[in-house]
Amino acid sequence: MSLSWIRFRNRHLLTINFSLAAALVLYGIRRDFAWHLLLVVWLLLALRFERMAKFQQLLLVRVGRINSTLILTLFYFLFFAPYGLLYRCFFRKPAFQQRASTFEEKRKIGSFDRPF
Amino acid sequence: MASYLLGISCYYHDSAAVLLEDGIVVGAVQEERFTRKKHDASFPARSISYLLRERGVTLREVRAVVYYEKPFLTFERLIETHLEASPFGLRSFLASMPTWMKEKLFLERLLKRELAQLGAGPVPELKFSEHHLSHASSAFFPSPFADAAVLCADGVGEWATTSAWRGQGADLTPLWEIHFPHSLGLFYSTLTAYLGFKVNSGEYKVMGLAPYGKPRFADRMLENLLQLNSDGSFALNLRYFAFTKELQMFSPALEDLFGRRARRPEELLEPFHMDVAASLQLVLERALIPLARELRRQTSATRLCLAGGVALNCVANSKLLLESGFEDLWIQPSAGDAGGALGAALAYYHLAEKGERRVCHGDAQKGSYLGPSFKAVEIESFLRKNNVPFQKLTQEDMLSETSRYLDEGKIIGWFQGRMEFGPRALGHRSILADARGAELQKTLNLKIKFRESFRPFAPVVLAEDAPEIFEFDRPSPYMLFVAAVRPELRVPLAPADRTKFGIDQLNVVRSTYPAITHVDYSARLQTVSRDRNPILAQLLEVYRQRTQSSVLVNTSFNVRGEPIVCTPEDAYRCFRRTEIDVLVLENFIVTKESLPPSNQSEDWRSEFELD
Ligand SMILES: [Fe+2]
Repeated sequence: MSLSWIRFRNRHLLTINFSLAAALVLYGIRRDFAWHLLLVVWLLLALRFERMAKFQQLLLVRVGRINSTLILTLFYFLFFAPYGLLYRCFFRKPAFQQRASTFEEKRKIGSFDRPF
Repeated sequence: MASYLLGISCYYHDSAAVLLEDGIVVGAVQEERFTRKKHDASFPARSISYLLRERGVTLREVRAVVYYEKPFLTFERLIETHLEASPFGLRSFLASMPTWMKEKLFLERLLKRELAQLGAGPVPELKFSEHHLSHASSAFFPSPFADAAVLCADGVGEWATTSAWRGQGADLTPLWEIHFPHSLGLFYSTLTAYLGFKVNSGEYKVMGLAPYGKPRFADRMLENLLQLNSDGSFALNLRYFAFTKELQMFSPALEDLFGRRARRPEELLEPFHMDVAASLQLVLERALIPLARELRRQTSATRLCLAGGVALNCVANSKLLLESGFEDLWIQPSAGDAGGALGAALAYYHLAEKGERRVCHGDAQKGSYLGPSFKAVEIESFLRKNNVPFQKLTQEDMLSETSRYLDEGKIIGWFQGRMEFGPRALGHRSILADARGAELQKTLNLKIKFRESFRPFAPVVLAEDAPEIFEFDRPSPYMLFVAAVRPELRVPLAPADRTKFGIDQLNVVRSTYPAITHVDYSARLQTVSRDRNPILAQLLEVYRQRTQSSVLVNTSFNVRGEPIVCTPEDAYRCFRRTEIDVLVLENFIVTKESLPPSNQSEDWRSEFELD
């Protein structure tokens, strides 16, 4: 990979991707180009000024975080917690249960070749 | 041609790298020593670069890189813990999942990418050792024992929090484990958090605080928090612990149990907190001793090796030595997860590659002096470049000058040879002082270390003189045992001193070595011999000729929250910022008097987050 491409990618690719995605989403919602001029101005500013690109990056990170929190929360309550009920009934790890001894016999070590 | 293996630990806390040459450790270092960020968990890129450079090899010549744990098993534990806690563990689920999904689940790829950035050519094969196997290997393989039982106890690895092994020759066989959430490390850390200290670094302070208190809560802890089973195993009562479902260690039930809210960081320490610390220490010992006795019964081994963060508790180690039934004990000096890097590489070498093991006299840890060292020419060029006035002496003159300064009550920044691997400074990156000074503990704590004044300092003593001063009959080269100052050296207490309570006991002179004698007459002992640490042994010999004493105070060369100094530059910076009187860099001596007053503001203190 050439250095100029790496530089370009690091500095501008997010800006371009963001503008393209925003343009598509805006068109999808409104079916017109009324707000696209504003998007072009945003794009030019972010390409020109590093601070603007940084701000845009932080904004997207925040939006991403909110998104992932929402998705994970939905996943947690809709799938994970119900499965937790099943887990506690049928597959519960002995260490989570009340026992007279907590020793677990161990006979051999795992292979070094895999991360599990 | 020599063959090389690299062991690494990272991404949780205390990242480190270790290089083995034909199964012998030739270098080991923690990443924090380079990045100057305490407990740095990032990929140990600088440590690996240093190790390869120091040995003159490239990554291409390394046969395999061994990671110290199995990330998928840790992930399995995490998922099952969240399932067990659901539907009440959302916050903790949200906090842990994104990093796992983004990075840790793809750890193999991440490690390969990081390794690829270190040098041209193909990345060595990547191998994985289980977390407790890494600890056990780090305890057994470098030990001086051909046959021993091994006990590991820490917070948690994958599932195991405590594990037992049998080591024989170059083999290590697992016996049993105790699984998360039942953990002595997490039990100690939870109470450490309740006492207002940081988890993963404050545990050592709690141990230092314990002798001030009375263990009046021990029974309450044993009835409610930690159940000791008749077979030696133990279990936590999760009603009082929140770490399985919350972002904090203890639940409100723990505060109710003690009838007091948790202490906030930096709040005044009261006798209540000291009593909790004393009780905690006693309960830990009561849990560890039956485990060790059970292991002794099962294996009939006469020697025991220890590793895992709990093994840094030198008070408990000494109790184990006395009461577990084992005749001898060897503890990995880098017992925490940094030492896992060493254990992972050794486990792979001996257990997967069937490399032979030579049992060394003493041990194979080389005094734990396994980190960076600096040549005289590098030190001189640093001093000249920074216009620092210095004396360049012969080694003999340097020792005699240093000894004179110590006798005059000066505080010395002592920088020699290879840096220590592990959390303790063992006389290569140390602050040294006369142990006879009554005021020294206070001065060292407040003007040099900038920390709470209740913590005791450790003595360093010539091995041959140790039995005359301490009630201890064997070497303690890694400061992992405590020993009582001999009764004949203790000073009778004045009636007014006897009634003192809590921290007020600190300033009472208790022995002819007040700076190292804790309120219960104990000391965290380091013995020094010529074969492991010749330069410090020689200094102690010269000092003994001068003063008839070979005991000095030895504390790590750093300020509170800062990793131990690594380079001459780090050492000089620390020297300038504190009231250390003399800096000894190999055979170069710099005195504070010869320098213009420092114009640094105190802003630098915010550089290091308080530990
Ligand atoms: Fe560990």
